[in-house]
Amino acid sequence: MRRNIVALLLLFCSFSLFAETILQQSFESAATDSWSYTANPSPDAKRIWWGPTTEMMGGAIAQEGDTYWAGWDLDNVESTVTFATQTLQSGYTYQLSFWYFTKNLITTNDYCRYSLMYDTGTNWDNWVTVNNNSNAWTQVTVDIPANSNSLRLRLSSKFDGNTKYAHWDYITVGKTPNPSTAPVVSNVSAVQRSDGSKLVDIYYDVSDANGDLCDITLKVSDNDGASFDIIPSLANLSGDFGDDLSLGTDKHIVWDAGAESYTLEGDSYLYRIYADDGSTPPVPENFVYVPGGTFTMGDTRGGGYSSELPTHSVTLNSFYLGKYQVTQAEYAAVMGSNPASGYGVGANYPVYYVSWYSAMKYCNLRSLDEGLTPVYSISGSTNPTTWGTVPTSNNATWNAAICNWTANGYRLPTESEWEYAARGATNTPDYLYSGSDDLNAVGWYDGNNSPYGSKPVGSKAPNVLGLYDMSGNLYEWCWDWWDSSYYSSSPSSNPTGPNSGSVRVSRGGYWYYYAVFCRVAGRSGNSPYYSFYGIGFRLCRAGL
Amino acid sequence: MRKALLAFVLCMLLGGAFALSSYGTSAPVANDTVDPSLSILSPTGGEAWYIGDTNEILWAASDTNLVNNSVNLWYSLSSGTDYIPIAEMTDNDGTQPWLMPSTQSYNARVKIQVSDSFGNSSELSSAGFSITYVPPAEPTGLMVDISNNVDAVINWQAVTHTIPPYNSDITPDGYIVLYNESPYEHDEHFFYFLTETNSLSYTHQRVARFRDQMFYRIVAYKDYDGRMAGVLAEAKGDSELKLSLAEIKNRLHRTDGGVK
Repeated sequence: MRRNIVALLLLFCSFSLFAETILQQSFESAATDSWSYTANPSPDAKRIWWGPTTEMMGGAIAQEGDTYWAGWDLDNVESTVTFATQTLQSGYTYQLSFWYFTKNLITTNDYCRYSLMYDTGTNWDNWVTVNNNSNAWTQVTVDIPANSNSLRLRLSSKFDGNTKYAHWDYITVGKTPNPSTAPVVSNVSAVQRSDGSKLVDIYYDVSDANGDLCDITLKVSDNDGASFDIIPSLANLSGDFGDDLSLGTDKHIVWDAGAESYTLEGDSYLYRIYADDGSTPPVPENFVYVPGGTFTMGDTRGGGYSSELPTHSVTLNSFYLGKYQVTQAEYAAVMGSNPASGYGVGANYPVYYVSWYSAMKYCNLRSLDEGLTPVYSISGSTNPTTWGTVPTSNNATWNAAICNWTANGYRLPTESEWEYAARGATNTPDYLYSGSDDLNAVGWYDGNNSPYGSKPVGSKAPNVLGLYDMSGNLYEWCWDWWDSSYYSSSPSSNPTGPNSGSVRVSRGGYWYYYAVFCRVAGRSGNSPYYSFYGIGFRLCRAGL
Repeated sequence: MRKALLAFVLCMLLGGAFALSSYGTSAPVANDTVDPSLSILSPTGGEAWYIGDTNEILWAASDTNLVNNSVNLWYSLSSGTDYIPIAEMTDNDGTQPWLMPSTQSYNARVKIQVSDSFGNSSELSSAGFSITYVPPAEPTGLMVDISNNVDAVINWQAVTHTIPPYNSDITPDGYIVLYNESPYEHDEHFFYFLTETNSLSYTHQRVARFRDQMFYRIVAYKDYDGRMAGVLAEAKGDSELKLSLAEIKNRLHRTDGGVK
């Protein structure tokens, strides 16, 4: 029961923490009484009382503070207090409240009422009459309809007789941010003009309950939506795309498709409009964002090995992957020493002579250093200081390490994540190596590596995602256990490898190996305790 | 239940920190940014077409979204400076009969444009070709008599028809007599201008006395538009003027302001 109460309290707090009073009028002449108003008639002495007071009238004193607006014997003249028109922002829920006190408004013509209008006009309508004899302060609360742009309030009373009262106090308008919700993109349509201009008109609607501005991007599929690999060049787009766009309907993008380096010819192109409400967390430094998607994994080009077959479709969530292999400087900063020697040594060289066990320890230590949630746990602990010395032989306890896939700390990529990223998150083009069919352009391998040895990270061209050295330089540890026939039974969604094994997967080839081992589809593996000069690793983080 | 409630509360508290995005996708859309392929099969340049004939313009066009009645054809008599419609929005059947215009040109062109349903179009012009009147047939029966050992008396048969296979009746406006001491046979080989005549005989005086050999070429002509008169006037004014059949054609061409 107590937990329920706590939960409800938290629930209440979760709203009230974000509630904000934007307008207030309690007639105290305080700075917080910001909602200006006009009284008609002006407060005067013709009646017993019409205006602010601190005195008790009809048994009432101020509901809030010392002063309230009192009406006493109004001589049957409609008397109003009209508040200034307020502009409302989108993305918030608004609520108006006020207190009233009425007494003896019992004649047919007597009333105490209010009108709320949600425009910038001057007429008043939809009057709501309050209790004509509350004899106590009573609160009225009104939820402002969603999507209202303006708010006007008029309080009105009319009665005659020195035993009749109608008072007002503490009029407020509060706003609460709408819960963060994803923008909604709808009514996407596209049509190529028939005038030979090769221009494509794309229309869409975008809304967001929070009213957030949105970043709009466009992708096109030529394979019935299996993937959206056609990304129009920004130089060939005009209209409603880009960052921080306002919401609305009939948004219009014009794509000069004829100016692209490729052609379109078919009757089943799909156009997809992406809207991001701008709250995307920044990409960690030296990481790239790999958008989730579906790709064909395995030996798609032929010429590989049986362990790379069958090719199969894999769908992955988004994740972040390091631009570079972990450098010797980065490794030493966390682990205290640099194990690399003899095959390229320097701060910006990739670290080698690191086992899979060592890589796992590095991940957790660095996560802890940076205040992130460690991913790996051994014997229930995510703190590597409790794991003992890194084993140099097969170790069942370390082999049984558990990966928390939702933690935000550093980890090794899965084998499928690695290949997906190496391919640039696409099979189009279906490059043999990461970023090119020309290995010399993108990787260090036996064909261009003289004198032999690893090379500084990032010294070859990156792939389309901005990832360097995915082909060559050093093999990279992946999380998965090795199984040469795993592709025959691999799950199609976020596969994480076999449940057990004796060898962990490594990917990408290295500076001493032939080109065939540097293919994006190439697979290899080593014992997790094994360290040699050809294997390093690259960091991964779950998509947030 | 309690855990779910707590989770909900935490989500509400943290909701603003998450990236939120979505997308919308269109229905399948047809696109075509590829221009139709087009080639002109006839004329391809160099043809000698004659006024009054009907020749076939031939082309080949293909495209995924090619539409019927999307072919436009034009011709030019001025090497492409101006074009005159032959057919508009005609079917892409690859052929268009074309009655030759009644104006001569030695640098005529045909232009074809084809479009697809997206308005993508390709346009192609042929190389130059000629459109002329059908010329007289070659004079026959050429005889040279030097029996007096002084003059060469040249006779030939009257030309009464146009070149085969037209063979329509024609009366040449005259004959041009050309000579050379070399037995040239090709149209490009030049001869000297001797005379222009309406008769079927010409006497080259004293040539047999002073020359070991002499060869003559008789050209029948029909001056349809007066330009041949200009050529003859130029020839008559220059006794040293060398002319070949090709040169005569070329001069007619140049008179028209065209390019050889």
